[in-house]
Amino acid sequence: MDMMPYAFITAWLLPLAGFVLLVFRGRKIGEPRSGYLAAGLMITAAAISLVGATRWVFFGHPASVEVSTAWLRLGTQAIHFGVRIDSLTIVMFTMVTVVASCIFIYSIGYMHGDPRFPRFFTYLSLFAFSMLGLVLSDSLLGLFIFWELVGLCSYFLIGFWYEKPAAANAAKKAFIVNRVGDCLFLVGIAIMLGATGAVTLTGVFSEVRQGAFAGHETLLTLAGICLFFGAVGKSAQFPLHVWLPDAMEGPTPVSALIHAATMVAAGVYLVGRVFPILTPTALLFIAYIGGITLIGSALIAVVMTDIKRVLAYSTISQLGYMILALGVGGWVAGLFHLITHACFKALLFLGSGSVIHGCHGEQDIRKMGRLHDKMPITSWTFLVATAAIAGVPFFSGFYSKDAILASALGFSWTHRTHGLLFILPALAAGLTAFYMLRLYLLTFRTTARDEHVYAHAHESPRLMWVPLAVLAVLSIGIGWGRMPEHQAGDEAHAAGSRGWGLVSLIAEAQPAWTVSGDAGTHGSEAASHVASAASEASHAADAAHGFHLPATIVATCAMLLGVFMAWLVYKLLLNKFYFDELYRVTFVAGVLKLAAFGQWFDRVILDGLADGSARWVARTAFFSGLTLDNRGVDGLVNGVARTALAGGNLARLGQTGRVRNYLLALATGGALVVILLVWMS
Amino acid sequence: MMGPMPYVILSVLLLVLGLAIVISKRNAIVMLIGVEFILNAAALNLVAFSRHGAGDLSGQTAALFVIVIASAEAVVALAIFLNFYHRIATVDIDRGDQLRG
Amino acid sequence: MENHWLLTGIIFLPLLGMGAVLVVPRTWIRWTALGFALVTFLLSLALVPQFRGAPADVFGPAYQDGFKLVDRLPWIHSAGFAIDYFVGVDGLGFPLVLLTTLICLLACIASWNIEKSPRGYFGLFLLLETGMLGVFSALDFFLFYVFWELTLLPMYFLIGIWGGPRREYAAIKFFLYTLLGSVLMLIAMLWFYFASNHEGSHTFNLIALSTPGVLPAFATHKTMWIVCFVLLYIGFAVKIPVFPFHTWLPDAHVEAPTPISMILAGLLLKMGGYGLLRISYPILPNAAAVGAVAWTLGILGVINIIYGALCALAQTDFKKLVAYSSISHMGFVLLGIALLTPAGFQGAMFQMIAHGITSAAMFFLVGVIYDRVHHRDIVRLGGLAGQMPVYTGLAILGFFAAMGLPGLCGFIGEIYVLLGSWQATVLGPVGAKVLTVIAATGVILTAGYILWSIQRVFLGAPKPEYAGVPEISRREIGIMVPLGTLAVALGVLPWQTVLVFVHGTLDNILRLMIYNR
Repeated sequence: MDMMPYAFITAWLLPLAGFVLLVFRGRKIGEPRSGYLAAGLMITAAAISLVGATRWVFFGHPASVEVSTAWLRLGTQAIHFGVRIDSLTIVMFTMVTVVASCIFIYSIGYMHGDPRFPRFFTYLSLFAFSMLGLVLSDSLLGLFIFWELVGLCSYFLIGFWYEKPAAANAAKKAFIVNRVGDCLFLVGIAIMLGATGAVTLTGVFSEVRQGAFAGHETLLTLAGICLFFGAVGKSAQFPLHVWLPDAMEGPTPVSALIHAATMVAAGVYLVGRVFPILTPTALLFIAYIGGITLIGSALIAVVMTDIKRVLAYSTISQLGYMILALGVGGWVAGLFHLITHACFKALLFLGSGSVIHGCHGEQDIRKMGRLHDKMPITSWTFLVATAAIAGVPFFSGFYSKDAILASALGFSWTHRTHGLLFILPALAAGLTAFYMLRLYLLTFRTTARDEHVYAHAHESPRLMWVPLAVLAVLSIGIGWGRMPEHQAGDEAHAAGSRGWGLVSLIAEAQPAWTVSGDAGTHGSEAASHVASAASEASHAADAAHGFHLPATIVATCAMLLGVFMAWLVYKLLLNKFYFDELYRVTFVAGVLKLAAFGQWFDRVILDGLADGSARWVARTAFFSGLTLDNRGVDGLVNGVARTALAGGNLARLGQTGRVRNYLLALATGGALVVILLVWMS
Repeated sequence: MMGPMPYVILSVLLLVLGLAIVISKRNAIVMLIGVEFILNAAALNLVAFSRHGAGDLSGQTAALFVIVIASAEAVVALAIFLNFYHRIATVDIDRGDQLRG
Repeated sequence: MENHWLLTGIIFLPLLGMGAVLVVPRTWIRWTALGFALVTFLLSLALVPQFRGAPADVFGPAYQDGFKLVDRLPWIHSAGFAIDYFVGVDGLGFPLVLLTTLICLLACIASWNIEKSPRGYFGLFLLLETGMLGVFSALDFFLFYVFWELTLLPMYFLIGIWGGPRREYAAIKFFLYTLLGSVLMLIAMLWFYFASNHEGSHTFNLIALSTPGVLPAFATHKTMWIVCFVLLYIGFAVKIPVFPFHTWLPDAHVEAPTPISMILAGLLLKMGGYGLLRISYPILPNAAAVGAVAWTLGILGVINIIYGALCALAQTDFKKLVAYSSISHMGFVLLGIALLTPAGFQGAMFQMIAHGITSAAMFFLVGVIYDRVHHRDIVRLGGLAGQMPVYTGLAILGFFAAMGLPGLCGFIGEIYVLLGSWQATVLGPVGAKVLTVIAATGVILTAGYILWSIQRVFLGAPKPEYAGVPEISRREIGIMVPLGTLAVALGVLPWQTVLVFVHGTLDNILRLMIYNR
């Protein structure tokens, strides 16, 4: 067991080695080999982590292992740099390495022929390193450091084809919007450090537990919300989600790895990690943000016609599910969905990449159709992923979404005023099934609407479809398992009720103590209605047990409704080009109106707000940089100089250069002195 | 016995006359004459006060110095004016205002 | 006290080099200057062992005991004055001395293509190095002042003769500004001298002046310390530069030749922050702890951060943009110092070193591009990533280091200052927190101007007019490699590379203030 952290640290450093090699020797190593190098290192890392995970699961393990080394001292506080491994870390680490391995291999095929092929793998390696560091990190500061680094990699990779102004703009936008969240994240860290004197997660929790915030609950809420805003930026939650659709300018493997499976999920991971210190109010705030996000983006996904943008909005929506789950106290459900989503969304993106690759860069689903004939493997795997995300029973997404809905229902059941927190995800479940099936049908079935695209479409090479197959298997099976009947840390932990599978592994890491749970049981805090209501949220997971069946029924009904509608549209569409008109006459119209409104709101109001604030900052900048600084401050300075000059000019008038005038002045002065002397005596 | 008063009055007259000439005239030569007036006013004072006050010859000695310096000064001044005349072809010193601010 | 020749040697070796540059044959000038800069750098490395060991041994129990390699000779002891040649380094001066010798060495290499009367250029250059080294190691206020003024003269000529089209304007502006500051400093200096009573006589000795009880008159008169503090503050604020004394900086940078910009931003600005920490705070600890003073300094620091970043965002001249970014970054130094926390002090000191590295790198990078395309208009640049991939990689490293990306040096300074200022108590319970939050928004603006300029210069489709632009040369890479390596090293191991050498002294200064209170 002692070797465990070091094995993971080794696996973590492998991509860094790849990065360093490729930075300095990338161009020498050349096109295919640099890809194989990076992918080889990644697969090794995945193998190490799989072995580690196996050992962890089957040979017993402590609750967590921590290794740290003295790094620096902040003022008088010693700050350690360390890794912390618990079940959640194991799960995340393994997920990241496995998904990344698939995507690395896929990229060798996808990026074939790109002039900056080695560069691509340089960035990917750096990203893998940073993401794994984020997962391993044991402190808020460590999280923040790798948080920024994954953002940097995202910046580079979105702007990978920087010749396109759209890509360069999207990269910049992604980074700056994320920085807004990071800024608040930093403030959250500052609050935590200021109040508890610790930055490690365990240190912070124990300090908070011992009453570091006693009497300052509002500050603790504020700290939680500030930390959450880091997640809002990174996980593309309302209102900072505007960067993610634009980020689709990056190469598709990047969208799969960074903007679907791993980096955007880091926000959820962060909320999961800091979950113990979130107050009931903060949790409620988080839940509503998740709710707004998931329904809004699901609506927008309905009307998108760009294959990657549909998936992007779907990602935002699914992340909203996870955030909502955490907000209503479904800690396990949220993180469980994170893992399953990573598998099937990566698969969806890789599938879309395969389509785009096969159709020579075409991304508009209106021009596709009947691609099933041309690319059967892609089509089948895409269908698997669609089933998973839609929540078809026995596919992974079914289990995790069901867990979320059960938590939400459990929460809403106890707190009737927050019924919306169940209605929204239930509605969105139907919408998800609808837009995903629509996407699948329009792309792979119906008729070929653009003969040119159809004629030239082809299945992708083996390097690309093998990862698809691996991910498809994961998308089905990863969700199988059973929750343990009792929570980890429960005194009455009965041996007979142990669960199995991924979900039970995640459940092991569930924090035993939380601020919100504390607030509920002791009731020592100011028990405002909202606070006390939400405080029981952390027990929603317990409560969720009773709600699994109704939630499953609701979710399945919603899914079936969505599937039915999509099927209806498909049937009607089968021989038609103009599905937009058809949309209008069907009873989907209402939903579409809402969707259009959502899109309008997103594009015009929110994006406008983002762009507008950028423009406002720019205007302020131009004012202060050009007008204020040059005319104002510098003008003042030059004004002083000019005044001095004017004074000099005034004095010049007396200097006529004529001796007579000087003498007159001399004589007058002398006479005055004499008169003065006489007068004084 | 006359006191020093008449000499002083004469000396003041000389000084004022000299100053008036120096200030109002533009001709360099005439200005030089004015300067001589001023110097001689000073010399007259020295002699007069020496004669009526100190009783020794210090005033007379100083007056001699004044006379010597006046002649030296006249030489230097005339040399400057000659140069001035060479450059500007006039002895109107208002034309030599290159040093004006 | 035992006298050590090492520090004196380091300080005056460049002066010797100046003499040599003036007499050697024309073709040897560059190599001579380089040789002297290199030997100075190597000599300064010999300081490092002095600062290794247990903190208690290295930094001493109090601020006054922490000085190493002290060299003291009587200098002017007539007419009632007692002025010593008195130099020494502690945790404050040592890293800056090292930074000075390094940046000067690199700037010397960067000066290789100076064609206009190289003899004068390199002579003044080495004179400037001596001046800066003297400032960072003088322990006698009078000597400090002499060195302070000594840096002014070569800088004036280096900008005024080797500068760009508006060089006279910029040079005079720089000169007048700094002169204004140093005159005020002179007043404070004389005031201290005549108010001091150290073992029965007046003294310029900075260590003695910082000892409690040496300035008896100051103990009772609050206005006196505030006035002196303000006088000194303006003197140093001009150098940092602090809003509203900053407008000389963009002009000076735009006109100065590249290596001089490197020195100006990398080292000369540090003299301001160093002065505050070496003179204002130890001698007038009471003034610094006055709420109004801390408020003013803190607010000015925040203004610097935000205002500098906004101004940078508006620039189209690449070099002016970098100059304004310097103003923004130096705001963190001021904020960190102002709020009197250990972490803030460490952050300020680290930020000075980090900014020394990143700003030198950025100005150099701008110079590289200017040498090739002969203009600095960001709007006309674009698509250079395809033409100059190596240069782009190095430039992105330098710019991200300045932006404060974790793992690179800029991050540590900023986060230390922000986390430190959050915990400050000098401004009451919420004051420091409000300032911190406002300062934290500065990181968004910083990302804005850095990324925008990267986009406008490097990204986009390659432009045909820059098709023949040559890639960065070996000599230029040789300058960037140490800077880039340091940027990474300082970012990953901030404690081992910098803070371990400085923390004790900074703690001692803070303790001085608490003691005096």
